[in-house]
Amino acid sequence: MKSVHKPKAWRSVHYSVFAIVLGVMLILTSGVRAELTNDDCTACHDDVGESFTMTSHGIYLTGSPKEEYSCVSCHGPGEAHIEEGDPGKIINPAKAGQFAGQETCMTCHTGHQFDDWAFSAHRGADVSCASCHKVHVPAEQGSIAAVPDLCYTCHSEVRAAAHMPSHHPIAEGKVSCLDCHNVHGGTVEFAMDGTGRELCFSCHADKEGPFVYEHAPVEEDCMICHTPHGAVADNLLKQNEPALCLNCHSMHFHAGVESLEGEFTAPQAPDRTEVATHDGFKKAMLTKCTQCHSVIHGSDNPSQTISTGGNALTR
Amino acid sequence: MFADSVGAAQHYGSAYSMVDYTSKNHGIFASVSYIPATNMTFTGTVNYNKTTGELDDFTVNYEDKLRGGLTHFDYTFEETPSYSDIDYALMNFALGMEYKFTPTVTFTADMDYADLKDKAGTVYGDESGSYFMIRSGIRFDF
Amino acid sequence: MKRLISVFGFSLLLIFAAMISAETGEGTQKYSLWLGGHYTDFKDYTPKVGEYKLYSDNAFPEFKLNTFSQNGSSIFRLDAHYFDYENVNGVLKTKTGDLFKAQFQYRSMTNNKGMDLLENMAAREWLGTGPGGKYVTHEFLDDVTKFSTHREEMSGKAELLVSRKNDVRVIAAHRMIRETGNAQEIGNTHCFNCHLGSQSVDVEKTTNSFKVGLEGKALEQKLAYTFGYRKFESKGPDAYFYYDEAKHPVNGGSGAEFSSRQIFDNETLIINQYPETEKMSHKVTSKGMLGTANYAAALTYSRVENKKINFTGDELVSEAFGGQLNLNAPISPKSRLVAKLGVNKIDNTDPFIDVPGYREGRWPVGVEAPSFDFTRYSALNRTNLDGSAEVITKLNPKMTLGVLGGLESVSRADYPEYDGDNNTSTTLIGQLNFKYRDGLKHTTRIKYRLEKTSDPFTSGRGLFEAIGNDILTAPYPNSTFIFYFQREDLRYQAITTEPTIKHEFEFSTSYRPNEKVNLMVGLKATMDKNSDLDSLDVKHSMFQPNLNLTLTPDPAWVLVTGYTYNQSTSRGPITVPLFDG
Repeated sequence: MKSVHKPKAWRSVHYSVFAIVLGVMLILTSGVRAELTNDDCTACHDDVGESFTMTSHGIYLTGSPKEEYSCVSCHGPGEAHIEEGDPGKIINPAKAGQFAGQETCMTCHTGHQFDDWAFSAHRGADVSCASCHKVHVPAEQGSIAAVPDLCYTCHSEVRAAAHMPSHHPIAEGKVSCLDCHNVHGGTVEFAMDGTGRELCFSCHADKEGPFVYEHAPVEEDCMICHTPHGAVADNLLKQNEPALCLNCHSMHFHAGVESLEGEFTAPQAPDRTEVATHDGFKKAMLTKCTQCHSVIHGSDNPSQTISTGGNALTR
Repeated sequence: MFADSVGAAQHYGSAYSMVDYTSKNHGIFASVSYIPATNMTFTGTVNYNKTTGELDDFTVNYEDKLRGGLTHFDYTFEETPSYSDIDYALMNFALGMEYKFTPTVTFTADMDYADLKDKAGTVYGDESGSYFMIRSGIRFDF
Repeated sequence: MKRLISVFGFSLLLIFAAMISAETGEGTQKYSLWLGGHYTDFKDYTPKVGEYKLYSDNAFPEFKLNTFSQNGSSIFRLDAHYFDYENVNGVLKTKTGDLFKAQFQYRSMTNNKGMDLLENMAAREWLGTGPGGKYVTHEFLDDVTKFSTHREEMSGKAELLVSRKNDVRVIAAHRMIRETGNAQEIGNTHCFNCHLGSQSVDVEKTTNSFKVGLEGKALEQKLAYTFGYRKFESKGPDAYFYYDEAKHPVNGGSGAEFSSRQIFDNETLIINQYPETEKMSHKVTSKGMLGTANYAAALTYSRVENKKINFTGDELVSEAFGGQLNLNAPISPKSRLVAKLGVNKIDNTDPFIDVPGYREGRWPVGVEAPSFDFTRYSALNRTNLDGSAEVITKLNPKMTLGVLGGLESVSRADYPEYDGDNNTSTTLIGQLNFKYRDGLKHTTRIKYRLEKTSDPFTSGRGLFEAIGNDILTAPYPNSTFIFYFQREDLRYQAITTEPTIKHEFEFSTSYRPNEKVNLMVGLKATMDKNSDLDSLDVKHSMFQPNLNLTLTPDPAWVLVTGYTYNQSTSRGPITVPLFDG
């Protein structure tokens, strides 16, 4: 009988040892899995693996001291994902927001163009790097689309504005969204100080002044009169003249003058013969104010009329 | 004497009316890309933009005492709002095609047409006009 | 000559960059050269539909060159497009690891402007029984009918690592914008009559901007200093216009009376002259981490001078001092604080305006002569203060909420309103920003923003004139007459159509049920009004829905389509002065 029991005891001991060894092996194995190689990933994602060397990341890392970077550098530990095949069990920066995905990219992309990313409107709106950039593509194709079409994917109203009768030549390819907007945060290249008007002056420097005779809203904010992407009225004005001007100014007092109808001659300049209608003064004074007030952004030269102290911005 | 006399030139204050200025813009966009074969691509884009801007009709109201002696002045503004009306329609139409003779040699052809209709020309007159561009070339990729 | 030097320098840098990029090693090189041509045809009115196009019914050769190469950490990219001789674009970007980085760009464009026909400028006064003395006429002083400018821009930026020890880099950038062509200049000889003259004037405007900076790391912080310089000048000829002799338009008399209304008499003067401005700025920045928080701080000083003006003993200068501090700090594993604080103080010189002396000495004997000289106080003198704090919280893996509070203040010194009071506009801001993101499948964003402003910006030349009879019977001392300039003082009262409360609402949702369909729907709406104006119902509104659909039914087809509607309404007072003169 003892001989019968001995083998059982022997087996129990060995089973226990086997179980312990197995456990240790599993633990050790899982430790190895924490250092997954790219081969583990490309076993399934072979298409990504094959093309990776032609991506910007692939070219950059190959042969560089940083080639120890691998799939897990961006995608994190992948054991659970490999075990279960669950896409939710691996980091996908493209699908993560500002509390995860962006941080992944920012661990390497630390150049000064990203210094203000933390405070940018895009980050505040939870836009991720992958919203605009592609990673597993050939090196020269790093953006989802070319600007401005890339920007239009979210800011589609700007596309419509860029085709309005008055517009910055965005649709014509002469002005880029990036000329005015720093998508990663911060000021654009040639804006020199922190005033709101400075961005506009970086291209339209002739409007900056300081002028002897000022137009107050120019000193206040260009956007009081203008809208930058596209507008119904010429020169990117929010409204057509004179409606825009009449928001702040009363009509010219001559608008109430009644005009004769028909041909007339200027008494002291008979060569100036013109044809008038009964509302001729209204047409003259209530069509386009800047025909006479032509230096509307400011002037260094006094206007003709004494009553404004020379400040009528007509010359 | 170089002053304006009280009798000859009068000043009575201001009259006003609250008036709406409304601008409307419809923007329609469509673009299509068709790749029937690996060596052939067709693209097309249409942009249509209709824009209007107008000032509502208005009448300024004032008490008679404000008008005083300005009886020969005309403070009615029936036609005034139309002076600065805007009514543009812009149609932009583009077509393109590419044909790869070989992986490195591609023939391209495209056209771009824009037509602007102006129904409310003001100081520039009628701004209606059209633009047409046709283009063709060979691309070498290597 | 300068252009030749620029082109030569640009070419050298191009070759240098190409040499750098040509280093051996694994990588990718792609070249694409397109050779072809195009034909353009314009019909009817061209400046509007072809605002940014070279007006020519002609055929042009055209080419494009695109190259991209990357070897390790060295990247070289050139995209060039010659469309016609006025529309050329070329961008070169190169990077050699973290050692050298540069970008150069040349681009040019046509900008056509319509000709103002001045047809609305024709009227003569009708007194009910016969013609009066006021009239409006116009004439074209030359026969030029097409106005167009050619805008060229050349820019470059280079960044060089000087020392790895503290990551010291030198950054230099330059941009030149040059506009040449012609423009329609209109002058007005008010007020013996109202006669507008149009002439074509050559345009040659140049803006040169430079930027030189040094940045490095110290105490784990990035420190940088940048010097900026910008100069605008016009080398084109000035336009001149004749200003009439002061006299009655019909009988030629009353010269003295008409001279009471105008500064110039029987003179030919420059009109529409461009300023010559020179701006310099200094900027010191510090960026990095404070504990677990990102921060960025900047101090700026800028000085811009209009060099065209040389008052006796005075300069015309605007100086701005600014400071900015941004902070992004985690306040829990699921939330962070983004705080911004900025201050900007602007001081303009307030020059004394010596109104030209034509009128001096023409005042009647025995009457105290008024002086029309004055000190010009600038509307720009101000202190801006902006602050905001936003707490962004990840409510759960799919939802993010941002709650923002802010304050903006503009204190204007010597504000040129007629009451002479200083003016401070204060805006309180509240904002909620909610985002739902379900991977790439579904995203919804809702934003609401409220701005409440006290004492908003008021134009120094306001809307209403007082009911004048009573006041106007008070004559100028020792005179029994009401003067033209006295009425001008009465014309304006401080009132504004800028809003005191503003609501902004934004909604957008995108739904991508599968790889073939992506639908996006959005709405932006704003509404504002001025609730301080009891008698005026001033308000503005904007309503902008949009719809976008992307379809990829199979790999061969991609369809992208969208519709955007925008309606903006502005209700304001239209004011007519009841005024003879």
